Amino acid sequence: MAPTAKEATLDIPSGVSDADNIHLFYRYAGEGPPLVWLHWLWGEPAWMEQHQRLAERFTIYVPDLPGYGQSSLPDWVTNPADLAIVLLQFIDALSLKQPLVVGSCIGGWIAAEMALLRPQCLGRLMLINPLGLCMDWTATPNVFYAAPEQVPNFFFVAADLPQARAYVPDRSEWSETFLQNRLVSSKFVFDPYLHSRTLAHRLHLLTTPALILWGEEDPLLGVEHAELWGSLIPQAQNTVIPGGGHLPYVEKFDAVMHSLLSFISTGTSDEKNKEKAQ
Amino acid sequence: MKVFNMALFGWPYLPDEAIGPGKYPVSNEYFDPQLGYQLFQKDLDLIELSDELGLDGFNCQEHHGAGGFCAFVPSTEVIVAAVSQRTKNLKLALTGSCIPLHHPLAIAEQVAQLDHLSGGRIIWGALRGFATEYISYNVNPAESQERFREGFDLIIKAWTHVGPFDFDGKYYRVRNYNIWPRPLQQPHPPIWMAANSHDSLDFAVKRNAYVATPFVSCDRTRETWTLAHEISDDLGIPLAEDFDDWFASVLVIYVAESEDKAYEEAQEALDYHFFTAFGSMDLDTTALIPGHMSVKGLQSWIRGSASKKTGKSIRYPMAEAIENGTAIVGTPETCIELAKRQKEIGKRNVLLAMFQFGNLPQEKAAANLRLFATEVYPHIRNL
Repeated sequence: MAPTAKEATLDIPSGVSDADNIHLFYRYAGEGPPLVWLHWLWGEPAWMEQHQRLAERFTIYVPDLPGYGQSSLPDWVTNPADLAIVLLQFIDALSLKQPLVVGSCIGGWIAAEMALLRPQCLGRLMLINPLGLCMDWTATPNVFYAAPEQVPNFFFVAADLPQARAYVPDRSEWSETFLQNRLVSSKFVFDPYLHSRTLAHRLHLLTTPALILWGEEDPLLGVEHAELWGSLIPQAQNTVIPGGGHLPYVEKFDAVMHSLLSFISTGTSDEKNKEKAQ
Repeated sequence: MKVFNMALFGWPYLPDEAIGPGKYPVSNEYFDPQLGYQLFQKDLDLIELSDELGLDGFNCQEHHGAGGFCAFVPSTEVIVAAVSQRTKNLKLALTGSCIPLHHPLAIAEQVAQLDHLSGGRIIWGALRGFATEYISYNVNPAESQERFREGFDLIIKAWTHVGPFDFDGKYYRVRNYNIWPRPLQQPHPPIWMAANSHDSLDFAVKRNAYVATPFVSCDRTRETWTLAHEISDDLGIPLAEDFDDWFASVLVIYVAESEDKAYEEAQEALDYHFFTAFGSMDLDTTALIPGHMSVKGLQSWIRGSASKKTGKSIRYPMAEAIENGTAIVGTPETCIELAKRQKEIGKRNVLLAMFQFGNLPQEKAAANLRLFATEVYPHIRNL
């Protein structure tokens, strides 16, 4: 059984003045090789089941991304490529050697940007329904401009699950932190909406072993995006999670965990891919 | 007490089926170009009439793409240019420019031109606009507050700086620029800020601006007025000497020969006004667009907004409007008394009054204006 999570903070100097520095809050637990979990669009509400499971085999670090939760946001950080710089500094500051990086949603996008900046410094990359590519942004639901009762349906297959409600509470329970996280995410991805205009043209440079994991029923970004990611990254592994939404570990926890652990240990996410690879 | 004719240029010809949940923005298939042309002329006639009748000013608002009353004034600068050539004495107030939706220098230049075209009659107002307008223009609402403040300061610098200057902002960067023409009024036209919250009042006080409140109760504007004075005291920054004289509020005025007639006609037009403005827009969805309101503001919105009506259920009862000070309606005698209350309770010294609102025909609006100007205004102008 993994130990309970601890909390810590880190001050990262960055740039030319004190105002550029970043105060990062993170939770961590476990022993073993380092693994960094980068949270989704509206922040990590708490220490979650998937963190606990991974802490059984890894030392897992779950930072609040800059601007989210208890982490600060300097003016110069305006998009996921900037966030990647901060996260690389985070890894350096903790002296993490070749960490595995798992990123969900915006976290997946950031993970890809990190690998593009410093491919040799990261272990394997696991991107779970990452933002960053968007085939038709005007046809994609606007998560910032929607009736609040509709909002969970943009992300989850089963919005009534307790884990889904933990990530997107009922409107009446939107806390100061949740509202702040929404605001910060809007700074990062409102325009261009959920995507980068250059990422598709850069992904061919990505050499870190990467798993693209996609909840097949993602109401926000359809599974065709998984194919696009897979086609742009040389030697990427693609795994589709049937019945999973934008955060597929909410609906299909075991299947997601199995794929992640399998990819980490064998370099493939499941038997089928293993055959294909051979 | 001063009275401005606030012209909405709202579209009065919408059928019921144009409005309803999910129908925002109202489709421009309901805009008839020929009727639109005639309406521009009629609305300009009403503004000319308020000049002839001796009112103090005219103001209009910027709205885009059917956002807000299906008004067809996306550019207040264009309307004020037309009005400046049709009127002689009215103050002309832009209330106001939605700074983050434009380049600030374009606003500075146009308003400076208007100041000359009008012989120095311009009052400039600054606001952020509706959150939905940011969705349409795809301007990040999370940046609207910062863009507004930075853009505002750039506009003032453009008006006041003599000789070329550079500006290095987060959103706007300018090199080797100086404005031609500089404004006629020096150092620049007076400024009305739309302000309600502590943050926006703090900003207004620090920039020595006058304050105008939107369509809210007299109690609410009194709180705003009090807060502005408190902030000024706390900061040790004196308000403009004539700050109180220019403390303004938006409201509806309708004067008729009998109470019944005034009530009935005003109610019908006001119902249309609110129905078309909010019958399609989901207020909750709009309010929750991140960034337009502060996180604190959103928290109190979430706690407070029990009623989120849409469609035909939206109605603004006239008795309530009169009681809370958002409407002055009745016979001339009644209206004189109600106008006095505006000042006593709401601290209002400028009434930004809609004489034409909703689907009120221009002929009735003209009668309303005439009756107000002859029977009411002379009794309140020296308050």
